[in-house]
Amino acid sequence: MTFRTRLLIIFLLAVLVPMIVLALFIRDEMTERLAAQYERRVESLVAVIEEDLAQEGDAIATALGVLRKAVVNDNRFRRAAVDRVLEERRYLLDYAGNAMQLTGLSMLQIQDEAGRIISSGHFRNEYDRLEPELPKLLSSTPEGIAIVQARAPDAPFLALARADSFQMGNRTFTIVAGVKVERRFLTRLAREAELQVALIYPGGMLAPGTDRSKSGVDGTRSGIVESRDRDTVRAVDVPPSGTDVTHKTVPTHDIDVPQSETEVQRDRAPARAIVRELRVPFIDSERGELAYAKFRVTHQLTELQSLRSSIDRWFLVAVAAAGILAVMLVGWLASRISRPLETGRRDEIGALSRLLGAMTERLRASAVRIKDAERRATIGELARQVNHDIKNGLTPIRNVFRHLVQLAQNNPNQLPDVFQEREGTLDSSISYLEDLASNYARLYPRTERRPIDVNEIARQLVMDLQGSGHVDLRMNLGDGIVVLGDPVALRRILENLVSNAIDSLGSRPGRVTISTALVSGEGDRSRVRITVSDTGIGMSEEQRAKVFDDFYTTKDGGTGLGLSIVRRLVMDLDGSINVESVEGKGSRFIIDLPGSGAARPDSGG
Amino acid sequence: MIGRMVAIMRVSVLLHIIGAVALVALAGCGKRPVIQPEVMLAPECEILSGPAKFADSVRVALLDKVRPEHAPWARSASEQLLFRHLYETLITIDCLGEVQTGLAGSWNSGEGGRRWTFELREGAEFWDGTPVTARDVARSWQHTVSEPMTQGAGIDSVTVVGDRILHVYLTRPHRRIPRALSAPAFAVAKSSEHSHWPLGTGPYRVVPWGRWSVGMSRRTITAHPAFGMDGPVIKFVEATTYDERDLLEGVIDVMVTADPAVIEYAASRPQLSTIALPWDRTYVLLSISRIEKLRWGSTLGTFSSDLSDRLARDAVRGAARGYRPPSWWDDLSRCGDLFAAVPLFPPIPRYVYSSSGLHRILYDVNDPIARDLAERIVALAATDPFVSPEAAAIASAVPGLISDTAGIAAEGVTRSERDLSLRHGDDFAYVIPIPRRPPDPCHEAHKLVIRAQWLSTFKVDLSKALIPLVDTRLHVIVNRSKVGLIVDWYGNILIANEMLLGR
Repeated sequence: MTFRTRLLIIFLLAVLVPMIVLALFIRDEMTERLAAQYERRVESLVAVIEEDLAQEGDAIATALGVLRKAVVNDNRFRRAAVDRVLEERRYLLDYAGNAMQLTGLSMLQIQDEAGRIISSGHFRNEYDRLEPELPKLLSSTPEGIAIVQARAPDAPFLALARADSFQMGNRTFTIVAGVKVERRFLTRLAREAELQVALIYPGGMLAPGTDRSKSGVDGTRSGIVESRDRDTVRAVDVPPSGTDVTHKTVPTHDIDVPQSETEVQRDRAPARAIVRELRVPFIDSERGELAYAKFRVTHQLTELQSLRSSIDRWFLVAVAAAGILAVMLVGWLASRISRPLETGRRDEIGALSRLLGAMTERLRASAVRIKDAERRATIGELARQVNHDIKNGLTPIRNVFRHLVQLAQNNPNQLPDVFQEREGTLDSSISYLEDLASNYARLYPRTERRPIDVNEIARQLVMDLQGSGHVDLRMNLGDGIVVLGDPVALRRILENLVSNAIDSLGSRPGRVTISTALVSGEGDRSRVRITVSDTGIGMSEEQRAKVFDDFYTTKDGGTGLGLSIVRRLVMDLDGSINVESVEGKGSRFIIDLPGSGAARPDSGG
Repeated sequence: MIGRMVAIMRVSVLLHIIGAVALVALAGCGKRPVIQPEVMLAPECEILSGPAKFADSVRVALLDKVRPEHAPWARSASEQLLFRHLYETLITIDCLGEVQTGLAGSWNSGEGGRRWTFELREGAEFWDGTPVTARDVARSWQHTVSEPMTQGAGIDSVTVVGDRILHVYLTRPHRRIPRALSAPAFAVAKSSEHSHWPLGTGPYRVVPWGRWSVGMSRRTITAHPAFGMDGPVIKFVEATTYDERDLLEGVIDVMVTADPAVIEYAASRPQLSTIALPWDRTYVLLSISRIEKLRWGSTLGTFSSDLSDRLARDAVRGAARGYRPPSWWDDLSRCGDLFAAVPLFPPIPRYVYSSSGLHRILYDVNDPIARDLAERIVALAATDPFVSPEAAAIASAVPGLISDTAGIAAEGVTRSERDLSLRHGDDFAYVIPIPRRPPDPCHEAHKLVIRAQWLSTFKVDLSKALIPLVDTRLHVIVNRSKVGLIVDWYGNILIANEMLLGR
């Protein structure tokens, strides 16, 4: 892993992790607090609704009080209702309608003691209809107020109603009065756009934006889009004794919610609304019994959802931006660290950097020149020597041929005799050249062969090279590894190979292993196998093919003669050398030498 | 002395003669030489004698909008009031039911009563002075005669035989003159390119032609007595947005209303007189379920007169009384096959096969009496029939009214919506007014069958099909110091002028 990569990872971790943690924390905290705030709002609205209902009830009670007083003092009403004067009957029938309009009520009916409607404001022509249970049920409710279903010519409607009574003559009459509960009423209760108030009653539901069902016939359409849990709805129960608010969880199938709506709700998570309910008495006029309806207060969480989505979105943008910035910063920083010293500075550092740079350049150039000169010098000297020796051998041969040519031109009859005389000169010159060639084939003079302890040479070599820093030098030595040859030559072979192996590692840590082993050879004689392997950069196919060529090198400033010398030395020892290499993985030089089978081999001192 | 006296007497007589001649000459100037129709006004029909001298102008309230393009066929009570003054029919029927001349001066029958020949009165002319011809009459009736609704009048065709003579051929013989020709549908008018108003021949004419004058935020149509007759100028004031009681505060002189509150208020104004017009309408309940049952021979009840009176007294907030038999639909045997004019395969009322859970009783939303009756029926449907005779009667008369499964509601709709529903039989029942005294009962019955064609499906006698509820009438409130009023058979009032009074 490069320095830049490490730097990048550290930077990202150092910046992003805290950022992510902070964002998640903020998100959750915000959600929790907002939800808690909404819950408090809903709770307070429920309390407000209770108060509103109570106020409405009080207003109706006030209107009833006024009506009662007015009707008691109305002589025409008395004549019609008590004295049953026919001429005043129409006045009686119209009375409730006029009174209802004057008092701003939506429902008003006056009944006699038998429960017969004698005047109706909301349904003028329903006189003589019996509805005795209505005032009785109204009186039985805790606050004397309830939601009733009032009949009308076109369709029934819901009204928040209460009852009162008055005496006239020896008769008792009841007044039932109320205000219409419709969508506007619910909207007024809600007060805010995010809050929704719906009324759920036996056989129907009334909510802003939904159609009121016909009671018991068409079912309901839910205006609800909640719940906190997927399958339950928080409901609020009102104990019969009062209007204390408690929580109660009921399954959604207890509430009239169409299946499709419930399924949609279940598929959505998290919760989309907060719900509370307030129970109020409801008079089911169809059955003539007291039931309960619920004001359901719902607070949509759409604002919270959108806020959360917005935070998520911006968080992702921030993370992406931080990541990109980190990459750019790290790249710039890393490149800045490995950049050469600035030479443009005018201070001491600039002067020093310039001086160092110049010195480095000169040294580099000098080394190149020296290596080049050495190469040329070596090659030149050798060439001069070869040139000289060859000329020495060729000159007598040239002289003899000139003499023979001259005789052929001038005295061709003397040619055979002169050729016979000069034949010896030609033979000696040719022999001289053959010897010369043989000598140049071996760059070293022949030495004597004696038994060499290969392992000992390897150990000494390794001992000499210990402390090479990043190089792990190992040995894997077999037993009885003895060859016949020149210990100096063998040491030179191993030195060259190990040196090359170490060079191939470069500055990276690696391993160089020297192995010796006896392997089977031709006939009875065993062979000694010496292997020098490394974990260096390896060689390509092309490089491997030329590696033993003279003057072939891959190193800057190299002579290119090391491995060619190694090969000659190996051949001088009657051995063979091969190389195996995988580019990027390492190389292995394998030397096979004849085994000696001799006693006490030489360690090469 | 005697000689002087004789001389003075001679001079006096001569002066009187000269004066009389001068008066005659002066009286002849400025008047058109028009032959007045012979009007024999029964005294009973002059419901209010006006002042000795006609007022200069009389203001008549129009409580509905009027549209010239509807003329001469009225679509509202106000149009009826106005058009009656402007357009004439060949014959008229006075309040006693006697046929009087109108545009036609004389008539006779032929071909056993299948053909009636009318001669237009001499000198009859339109407002622009052009004479009325038989061709004008035929053209004017062209639309009317082709209408299915008027085919019950029995008119087969009209033939012009002269400038002022036309033959009217009937589908069946009439021993007496077909009274249906007095109906407003047979009013004669001629369109004019110079006026929005078709030209008429009535006792009044619109001047200036085609223009509304707008003053004091009220539109006014001014009608002058026609043919130079003496009479008040009538200003018909369109007062649709005003409280009628405010109009009675000297704004108008004549108002026709059914509002009991207005009638009651007018009674308190000393200068106003309130006159009840004839009972001209009966409200009936037309129930598909009833007719269906009757078709299969069921015996169903109806409202007794006592219950009907209670209905009129308590339910209706207007001038109403319990229904009084007999009525013209009790015996229609002489009308032939009333259902013959209906298409070969009369429709089955859609209500019969609709699956709606709600029973609707439809009424005209602009008809408060129909609304009151419909609402009362809905209320009775929810009333225990064991404790209410009314509820018991209506339950007996209308099968299916009290249902455990279906609700019932009264719904006010526009007249056209109601008529469309009535035509197809879309709803449970209908509360509709029908004329109490049509000039031709057969024609009226025919019209009803056309309106509700599914009646032909069941072919139930109308006397059983209809449930009569209440009779109603209008009242006219009038400033008696200014106006004389005449009423006709249809209950239309006319502002008296010289022509109408036959002076």
